[in-house]
Amino acid sequence: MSQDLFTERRVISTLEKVQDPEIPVVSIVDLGMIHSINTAHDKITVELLPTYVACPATNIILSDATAALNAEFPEREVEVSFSFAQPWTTDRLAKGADEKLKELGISASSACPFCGETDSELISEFGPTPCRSAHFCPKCRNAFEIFKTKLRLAPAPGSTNGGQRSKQESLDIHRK
Amino acid sequence: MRRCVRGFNVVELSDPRLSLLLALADDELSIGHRHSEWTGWAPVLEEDLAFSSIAQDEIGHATLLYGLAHDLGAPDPDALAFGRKPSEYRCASICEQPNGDWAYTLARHHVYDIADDIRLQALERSSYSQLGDVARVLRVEEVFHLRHAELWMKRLDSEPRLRDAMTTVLSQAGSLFEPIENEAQLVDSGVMPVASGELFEQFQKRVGGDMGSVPVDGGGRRGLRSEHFEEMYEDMTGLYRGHAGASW
Repeated sequence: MSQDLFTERRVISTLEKVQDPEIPVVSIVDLGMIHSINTAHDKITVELLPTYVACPATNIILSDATAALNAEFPEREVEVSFSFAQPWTTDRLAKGADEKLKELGISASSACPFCGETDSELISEFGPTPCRSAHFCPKCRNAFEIFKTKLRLAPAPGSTNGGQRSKQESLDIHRK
Repeated sequence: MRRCVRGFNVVELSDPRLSLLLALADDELSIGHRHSEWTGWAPVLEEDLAFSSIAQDEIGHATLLYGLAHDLGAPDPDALAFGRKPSEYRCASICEQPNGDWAYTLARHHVYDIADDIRLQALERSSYSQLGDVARVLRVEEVFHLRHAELWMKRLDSEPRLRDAMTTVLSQAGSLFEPIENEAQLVDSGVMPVASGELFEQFQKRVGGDMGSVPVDGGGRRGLRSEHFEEMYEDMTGLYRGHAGASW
């Protein structure tokens, strides 16, 4: 199985233009959603990690990514699908993604995106979309949202990785 | 293997893994449906949003689990979610209870998500690797449900109605740990790394209660449904069953 790195870079550039429909300042590459790219045998196969399994934006992202790749590679078969090989986590966000989120008034840390105050009040773990929590800043008295930190959990005590198939690690293109 | 009986999709449990997948998915679908009933009715706007999001999550999780069942030969997720007859659902009885008041809803949300966390932690080590992967993905999302419930339990800690609701919910929580059909095979093969009885003990330690050594067998895992399920079933499946073959 051969991987054409030039084609892979073209795939990534194409997907850099596919934006999250609910957060249009970030692309699916910025969000770290790409799990794998395979360019062998004249077929482009891309696996994405859904940010949140039930988020309705994920189906739109799937069709947008497929359409973008079909337009870029009209001579090849394209297949884009979701993988659950590992959870999507916020440590996959590309450098610079948090600045882009701030443009929309979404903080990627605990600081208020309007005044920088770090001691905010949590209103709810659930905001207008699955990925954001709702907060109130006591200093500038604005309501704002935080892009929720979502991290891999430690396995239960006493568990081992024995018996688990080795997983393909996701492409490390996200940390620029 | 599947066959249709008078318009219903019947799932024959030729693969013991189907029993487990349907129990997990039916729990998520039922509790998700119950949470969704607060949309437009919750006491404050933020909780309307929260319960709608949590409901969406749970139903999305059910969809993934039904998808695994479909990969093993069961009907597609929509047919599994909406097209079976009531006696074919394998949800725990606590999941089909009506929402009651806000106190009951919060208490059940708290207790259900603790139980779910315990079983998902175990399932991450399943010999059925696709289920292990899905369990790992779901558990990362369920953290937010747990935190949401904990925040409310702390806020209303001294409220007598919440304490009474917790007593009621704990009396029903054992239904989540009734043995799954074909459980012996599932445990022997490592598909269920931890048996229901042991999960129940872990649950009791975590909630700080003593509910006995064996969970009460209400029959939910064997398809015994209450009149509460029938009423929810009509609401949840009526549109799908009334327009067979429609696409949306």
